[in-house]
Amino acid sequence: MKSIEEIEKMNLEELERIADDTGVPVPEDLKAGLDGVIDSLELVDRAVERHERRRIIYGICTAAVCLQVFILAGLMQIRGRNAPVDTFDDPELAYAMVQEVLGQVGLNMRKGVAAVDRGREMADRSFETMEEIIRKK
Amino acid sequence: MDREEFRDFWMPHSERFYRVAYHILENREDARDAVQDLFIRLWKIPSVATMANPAAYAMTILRNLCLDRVRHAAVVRAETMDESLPLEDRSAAADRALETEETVRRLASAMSGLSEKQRKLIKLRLVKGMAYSEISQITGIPELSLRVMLSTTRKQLKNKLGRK
Repeated sequence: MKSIEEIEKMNLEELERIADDTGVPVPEDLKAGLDGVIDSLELVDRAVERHERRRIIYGICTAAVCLQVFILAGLMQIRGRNAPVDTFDDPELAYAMVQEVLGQVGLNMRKGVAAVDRGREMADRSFETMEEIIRKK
Repeated sequence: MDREEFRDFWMPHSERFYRVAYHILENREDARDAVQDLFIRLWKIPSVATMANPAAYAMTILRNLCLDRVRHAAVVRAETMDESLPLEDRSAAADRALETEETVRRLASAMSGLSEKQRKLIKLRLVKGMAYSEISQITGIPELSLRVMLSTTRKQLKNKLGRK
């Protein structure tokens, strides 16, 4: 191979002259090999496109689930603020009230988790549909 | 540029590119690889419409690609003689670009081992995204056979690319 200095000195005119020298034999399968490269480039581009689309869908679904959890947490906080904060002189009465409140909190949490699960289910279904569409394209 | 435009524009120059690469690298295989690398770079250009002289631009890229090969060969030669020489420092972006080029080369090599029918099926199904029914109409091959053929072809490509 030529030296680095020789190559660096080559100007466009010289390169054009070398390119036009038909005395240099060209391999018969040069163009077939280049066709293979073009095919591969198309495949790689398509794979990158699909990967990008999937990333966007994942992002949207994750944001939707987070938003639902956020709203739920907010609602639970508001409900908590409106709850009565009175103390009781009678310890038995106080204990009974605590039990009732804890029971209510447990019920609300189950409702909240169910809502997040429903949200996740909806997001999963949307994602599966998008995947199907992309696959069918 | 779509595939056909790219091919129609650059393929007529391929022999000229090869002659330049061969003149510099003085090796048939290296020259062929250099021209393939050039095509990979040219693929990334969205349009040549704004270029005054696209062929000259490509020739310059080719010269620089050949220069990189010669430099790399010099570094490898020096490293085999003296392990204390530092490796060329590359940015992460340059490494990723090289990795993509390497992937394309390996894929091209793997695809060259497929039959014409298999390559056509890959193009119609995975690149153009046509449905099996459409491909069946074009090729005259039953859908079930097409599915089996594609599954076999995918496995072959994965094996050739060294993936499980």
